[in-house]
Amino acid sequence: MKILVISLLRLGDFFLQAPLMRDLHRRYPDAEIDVLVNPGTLAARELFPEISRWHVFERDRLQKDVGTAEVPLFAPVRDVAALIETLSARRYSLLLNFTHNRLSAHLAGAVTAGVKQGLIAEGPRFRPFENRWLRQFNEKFGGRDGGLFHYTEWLAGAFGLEAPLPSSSARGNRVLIQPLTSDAKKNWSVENWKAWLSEFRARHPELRFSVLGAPFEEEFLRRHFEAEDLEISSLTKVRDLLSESRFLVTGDTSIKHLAALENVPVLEIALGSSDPWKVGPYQAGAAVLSSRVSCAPCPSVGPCRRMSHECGEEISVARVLEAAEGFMASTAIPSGASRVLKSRSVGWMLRSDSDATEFVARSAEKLLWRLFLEDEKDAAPSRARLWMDEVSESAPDWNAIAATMALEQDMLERIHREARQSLQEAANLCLAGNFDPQLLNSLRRQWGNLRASQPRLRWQLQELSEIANLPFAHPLAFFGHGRRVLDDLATRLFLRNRILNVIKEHGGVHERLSRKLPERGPEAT
Amino acid sequence: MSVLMFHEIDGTLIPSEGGRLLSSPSYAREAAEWTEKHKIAGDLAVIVGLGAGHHVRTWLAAHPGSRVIVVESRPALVNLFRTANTDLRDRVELVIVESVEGLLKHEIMETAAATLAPVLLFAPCAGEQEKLFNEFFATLSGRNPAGLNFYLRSFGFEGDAVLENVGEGRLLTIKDLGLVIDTAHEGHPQASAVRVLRELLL
Repeated sequence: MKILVISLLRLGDFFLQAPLMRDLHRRYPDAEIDVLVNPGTLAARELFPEISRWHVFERDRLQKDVGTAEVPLFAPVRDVAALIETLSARRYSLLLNFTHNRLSAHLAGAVTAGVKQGLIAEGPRFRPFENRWLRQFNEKFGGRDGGLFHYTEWLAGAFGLEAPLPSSSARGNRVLIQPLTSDAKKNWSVENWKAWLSEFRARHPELRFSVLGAPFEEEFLRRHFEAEDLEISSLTKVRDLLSESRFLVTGDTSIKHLAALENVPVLEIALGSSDPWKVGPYQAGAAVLSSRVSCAPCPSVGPCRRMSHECGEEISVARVLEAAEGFMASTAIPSGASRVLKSRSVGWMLRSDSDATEFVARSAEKLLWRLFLEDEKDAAPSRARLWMDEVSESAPDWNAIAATMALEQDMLERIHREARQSLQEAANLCLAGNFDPQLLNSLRRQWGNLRASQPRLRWQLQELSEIANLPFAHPLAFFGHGRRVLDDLATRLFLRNRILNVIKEHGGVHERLSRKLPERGPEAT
Repeated sequence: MSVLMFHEIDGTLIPSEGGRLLSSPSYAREAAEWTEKHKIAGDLAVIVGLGAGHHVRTWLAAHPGSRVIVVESRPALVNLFRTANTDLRDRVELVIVESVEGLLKHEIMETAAATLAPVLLFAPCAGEQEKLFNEFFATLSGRNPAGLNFYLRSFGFEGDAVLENVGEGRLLTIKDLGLVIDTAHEGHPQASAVRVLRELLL
């Protein structure tokens, strides 16, 4: 059996997909697993000996050829066609498009393979999404509200694979820092890094320190750090260094994801467009320092648009020192940071030291979506009880949570009821030949404003708001799409209600129990 | 057909047409700069425009082992180059065509489509043939309707592409080819390759 995985993003994304590759190997131990990658990902080749063949999509060269008048229009067409032919000749039984963009979908559509999963083009159009995970990943991940699931979790759900969250443990007495990322707006200032390194080294003379960098960063790093601290290394060497490291401090880099894979504790300084809820370290126990400025995370395209790099300035050297000390001391949540938790009920979670209520609310939302995406109506009560047990250590006020959820439930049910009724009326008029464009426009306006007007319910109302702005060839297509979105919302309302009932039933029990417990614990009673 | 004249500058003959020199008096520097901008990785290039031929000689010197096919419309220039550059006989193929129709019927088009060699325009030597040379360049690279249709047929696409709003002199891009594919050749095996490439421009 042969399997092709299309992974045409960057090196860090490839590392984030690695748990899924491992699961593929586990499921198909005798299969030859090939990958199609961009040239930059080839740097990881030696780290993944289990991959049979590395096919390369020469993205930069093709992009240059396409834009160069001297290159005949058909020359890059020939090259891409040859790549498609080479891949098709491998006769893959299974093709998985992990990339999820239009380019990869066209490639995936063109390659001959037995079963294809993911975003796949069929001629100029795209195949309908084969499951809820994939559809919601498509709709949610790119937006500002996309941080409900981690990127690796979205992919695991979409492809029906397991991606166990790696744990972390210190390996030695070396501390690695990687000051530079691929994007200036994600960089903490080099002065901060130098100050942090100097102070932390003074506090911990027992530790050894290495500053990591790529060859093209060497000149810059040499100007700021001692030559003996620098490690301008290949990925294989970095992996060796990781194997003797206490932890890694870094921005949003591919090395962050490699360390997570290698079980080396990660402390991330998430700046600029880095959104830890989407692509934070996929590692239980990792810690993240995020900025609290209003513009963070910013759009990934383009430079920082503020007068100064506010998110970077907001994270002081003292804060990173404190977080690193807490990290070293295995504090549950290092001061000023968030910790990645492994939850049996909801999966990857980020918990800050300051806002337990937000943590409970977000994990409740995640539980609901997980049940919805996995189509697990019957398991809702037991999963909700498991979730309650897991978050109980935050000592949430269950009565208050239940009251808020009940209010939100009423509001969502009203929105759902009114939207369905309006949609039906407009559709009936259309079917009777009395289509009223004003009515449709009014419906679009109403729905379009929902998400912004109800920020706490943004995940529930996102699709309804978004279809209001989508172009449709015919009003009936809008009605059909709207009905599907409302059906999904109805399913989530049902699940939400079940979760709410569990909270109402068991919240009181949890609270009574926690009130009964003496300070020293149950064994003292 | 306008009249060519030849001028001796520093012991070298520089042709002119309609009062315009077909090489700079600093022809060596001009040829070196042009060569620097037109480096290629393969072993064959098509050059549109011969002029005095200094750029051809310089380009070949910078690409040892490579060959060129030079397309020119003025036989006198071709004859002059042949006489003066016998040492390049094995590396230079000279093609004389006087119109786009003539070019489309010439076997050079078959060669261009089969090899997909880069097409390099030496604009300074165009003289009064500027428009014609630009058309040669676009046709040979498949970047005008006539050239595109030739390539489409070579690659097994049936029927001619109908391209609207193609202004004179505008070079076609992969977006134009994508439009042709989507409207008339949706199922062709190479259609997906075109769609992939179109995404690189978006």
